[in-house]
Amino acid sequence: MSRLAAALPLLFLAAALVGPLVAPCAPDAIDLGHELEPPSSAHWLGSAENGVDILSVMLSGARTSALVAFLSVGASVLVGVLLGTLAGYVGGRLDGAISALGDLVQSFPSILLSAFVISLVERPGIGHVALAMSLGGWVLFMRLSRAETLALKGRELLVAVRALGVPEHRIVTRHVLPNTLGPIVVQATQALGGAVVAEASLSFLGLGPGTAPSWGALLDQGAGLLLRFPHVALVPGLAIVLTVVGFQAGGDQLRDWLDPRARRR
Amino acid sequence: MPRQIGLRLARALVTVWAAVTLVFFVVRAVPGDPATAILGEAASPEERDALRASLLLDRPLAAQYAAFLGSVLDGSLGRTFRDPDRTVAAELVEAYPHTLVLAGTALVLAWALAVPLGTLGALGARRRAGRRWDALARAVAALGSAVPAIVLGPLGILVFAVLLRVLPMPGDEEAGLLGLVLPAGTIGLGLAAGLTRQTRAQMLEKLSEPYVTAARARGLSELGAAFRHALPNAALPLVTLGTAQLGALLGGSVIVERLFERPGLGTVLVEAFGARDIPVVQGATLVVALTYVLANLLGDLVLTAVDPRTRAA
Repeated sequence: MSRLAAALPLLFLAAALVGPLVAPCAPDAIDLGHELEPPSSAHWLGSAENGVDILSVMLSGARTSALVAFLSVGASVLVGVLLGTLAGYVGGRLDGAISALGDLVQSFPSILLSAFVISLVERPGIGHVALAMSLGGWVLFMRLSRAETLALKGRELLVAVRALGVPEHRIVTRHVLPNTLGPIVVQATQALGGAVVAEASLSFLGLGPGTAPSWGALLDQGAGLLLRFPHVALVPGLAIVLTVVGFQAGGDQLRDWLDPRARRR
Repeated sequence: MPRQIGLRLARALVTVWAAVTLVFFVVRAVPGDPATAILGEAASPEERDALRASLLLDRPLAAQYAAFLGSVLDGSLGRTFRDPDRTVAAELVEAYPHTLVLAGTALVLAWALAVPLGTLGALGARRRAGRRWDALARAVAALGSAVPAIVLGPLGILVFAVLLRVLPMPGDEEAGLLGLVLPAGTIGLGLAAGLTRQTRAQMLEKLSEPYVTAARARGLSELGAAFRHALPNAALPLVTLGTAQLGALLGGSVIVERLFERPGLGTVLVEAFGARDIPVVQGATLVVALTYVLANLLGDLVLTAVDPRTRAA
């Protein structure tokens, strides 16, 4: 069951990569004769306002979601691991400053932080949304990477390589970083699911990547049509849930592979 | 102890000041003219200049900052861009109670669901007879973490308002307290997921401690021993998690307020973002950050009250 769920991200990635190419219509093609129809052979997942084909929006929306998620998590991991390793390894004032910066960023709910930054941009695109999300996202990876580095610092491994005369920068890049990456990879996988939700939530609030088709925007439209056309909200809702569950299970699976000691049951 | 609280309070206020100052300068550093955003592209340059002057946007940054700090001190937080007769404070004071009621109800629902369910789940995991409780606890934990508010909200409306018709639709003015159930439940179930999982895990650990066995030996029932002796010892990580969830609580209210067409802080913020209403953005940021750090402080104080060991540190 959880193996099956762990394969869901592959489906998501496939939809993001080839989905827009195989979609039956353009995600913004208007067909006023077939507005808000339930699923049929013409529109497999039904149609939304203005007769837009929901399947096509979902496939293009998967690409938007995936781009935002990978860009934002990628940037968060990069910045977070860099600062976290530095804070953990160097310690002292630098550690204090980096940790305080993390506290400052977290003194504001992350979705509001992203919403604020996106609202500053005149025509936000995928890059802006991803950047806005990573402004709060790096803190998690900084904390994790800092804790892993601190735990490693007391171990004999580092004492040994230092005694061998290995220069500090090499110790960090060759011995500290590789040994802390396992939990980071697991966390990053699960953060991808969170990023899909964050992008959908921002689009839901009308602060998503502007004109790009989005699951959240479709969900926002559907939320107002629940009384008569529930399929408009149900389709993107189900897709979001499956994606989150998939990345969660994928992270668990990775944890089992990377660290056999943590294998549960 | 009071000295320690004072110190923490001072640190919290410095954090808020830093956050608000950052917002102040960032909104002024970005390209784009708020006067154009308010008046629209069709306005003449003279009209825009007049508006900029009345909003103090033509003054040097330092003077604007001084005026902003002054407006914080006199409690008005300046006037909104969209309606010069209205202070930002008035707008926030109107919205704040709505968010407070929503968030408070969600918090109560989450804890009232998670603590008993997590405890029963842990008890159930240890005995054959209680398997169902454990399955239920794990189902709530899984459901709440897999289904985010933007999906759970519409799903709740669909099931309880459209199909079963037991709860009012969003935007129903005469809904009263019943109208609070779905919005608060949407946020609450999300929070309850983590809390249930944590309660279950903590209780599983604590239930095998010798003092629980001792309480059972003295004749306490299994439930009695669990709630009277194991639960207080499991409370510490729960309160820590509860404090960490405050961001999700505030963020969740923004989504839920839009979904259920409710007034509140989130609605004010999102509207101000859209309209580039800088004083409202600044004021709301101040209030959100202040709420956040004060709630965190409160969480820490509860922690100290629950666990005597943290007092010395």
